[in-house]
Amino acid sequence: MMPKRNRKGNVNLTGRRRLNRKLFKLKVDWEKMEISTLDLNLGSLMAGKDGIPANSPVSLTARFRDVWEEFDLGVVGALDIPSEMSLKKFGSNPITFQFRLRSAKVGEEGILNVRSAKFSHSKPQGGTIKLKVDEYHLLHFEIVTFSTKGVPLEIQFPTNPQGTVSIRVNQQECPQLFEALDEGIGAYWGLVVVPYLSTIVERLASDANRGAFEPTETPDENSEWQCMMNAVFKDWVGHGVQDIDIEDGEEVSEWARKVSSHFCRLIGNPALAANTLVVSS
Amino acid sequence: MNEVTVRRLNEAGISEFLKINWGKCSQDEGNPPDILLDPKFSEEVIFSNGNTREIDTEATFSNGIEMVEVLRLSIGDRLQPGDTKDVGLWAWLSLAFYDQIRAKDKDGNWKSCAAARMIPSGRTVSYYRHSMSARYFMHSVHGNNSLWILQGPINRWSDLYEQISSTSWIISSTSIIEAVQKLYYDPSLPNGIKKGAAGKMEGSARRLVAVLNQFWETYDLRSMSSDQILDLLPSEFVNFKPLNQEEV
Repeated sequence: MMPKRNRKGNVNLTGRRRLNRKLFKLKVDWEKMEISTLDLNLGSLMAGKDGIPANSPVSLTARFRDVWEEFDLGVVGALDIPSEMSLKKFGSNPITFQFRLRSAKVGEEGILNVRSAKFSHSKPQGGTIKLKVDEYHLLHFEIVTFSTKGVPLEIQFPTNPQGTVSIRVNQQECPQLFEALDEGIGAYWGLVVVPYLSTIVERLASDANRGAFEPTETPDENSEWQCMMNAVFKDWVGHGVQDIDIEDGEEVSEWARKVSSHFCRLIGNPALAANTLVVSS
Repeated sequence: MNEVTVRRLNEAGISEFLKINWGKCSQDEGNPPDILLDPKFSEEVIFSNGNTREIDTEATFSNGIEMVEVLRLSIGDRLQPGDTKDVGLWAWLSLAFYDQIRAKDKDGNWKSCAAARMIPSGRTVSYYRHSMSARYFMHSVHGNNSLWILQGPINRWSDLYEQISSTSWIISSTSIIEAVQKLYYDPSLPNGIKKGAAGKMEGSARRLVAVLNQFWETYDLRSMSSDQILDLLPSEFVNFKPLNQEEV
């Protein structure tokens, strides 16, 4: 079994400091597969009586799964940034970076003095990852640039009748969340898709109520997305929007609960997986 | 000897391969489909030098060391860890040596086997479990420091392998893997692993990963030597440390 990362908080008995994100700037050129911009401003770290010694080695680590690259950037007082920092070995996979500054004092070999938070860069994707429901693509994940910061996800309903419901993930701030959803990791599907299923169910009830689609119609490739989604849910739990009182909020909620419950059984036990995720984070 | 050109399974081939019974089952249910050389299910692999390669599908190996040698003689030793993306190639190789990779019980029935051991899953949580590619890449990256994963039988996946290879910053670090070899490898044992290394008790690999995860917060372990890392380990690892064994 894969080990759990059951750290109890971040131990800091050595006065390790955090490299603030404002102190560095890193850009990846995905065409050339290399780091195109790397600006580091470490002067402030050396200031004061607790300042980091100028001869502390600085490195930048880059990784994707078992592919690892470490760039030696010289020492704090005299940075020596390589002119070429190739990332070709990573292919087009997302890369997680971290700056790490080691102690240069004798007797403290290997002690980590300063580190940045891990941060990721992903190759911009124009396409979408589709989640197959029945034989149609009714729901998919999409990684997009959000206009506002801090929002991890949003759901977007189709504007055309044969469209696809889209769960959109914030590209700048949540590339790893997209990766986890794309890989179908149960815990993330449980935390993201299950609540959105309720949203979709309620949307179906609302659209049926205003006559946007005909729930009793047998779906074919020209049917509205609502009709197809409704047919899938009916197949899952035995009744669709046509079998409930869509004006009764409690009945709609009960239907949503059944749909969510069936979906969770389909993908395993996301409740347990989600709890494990919290415990191990 | 039966030398054939190395191939990769296509999508249809992988689907066909996935249809076998992966649980505990009889010979017939667990036998792989006869699609190894069928062009409907696979294609020849053109390697980076523009050539194809041959492999003897009747080669036998009793452990990982011999298996890696068979692979190196065929596909060479230049494939990089990033090439685990070639799911079709590794699935085809598993199919070619299926009998040797999947374990049987004493009655000759197949034991249960995770599909990821035969067909690379491509997922973060199990990409490293492929019986052949995991050992091949360990050898290509760590050479003789990978004997702890190579000496045992190829149809077993010890918890030691699972614990160590599932943590990316450990598996890719030369010095940490050297420390693992010093801690847990014993060439005099048939599977090369010291007793207790694969368990859950004190000093086991499971504990090692937990301890290293804590140290990772304080030390730049990858920049340290294997001996420096071993010196950091708490007393629970004392029975595994090489020096302690010499004293005994």
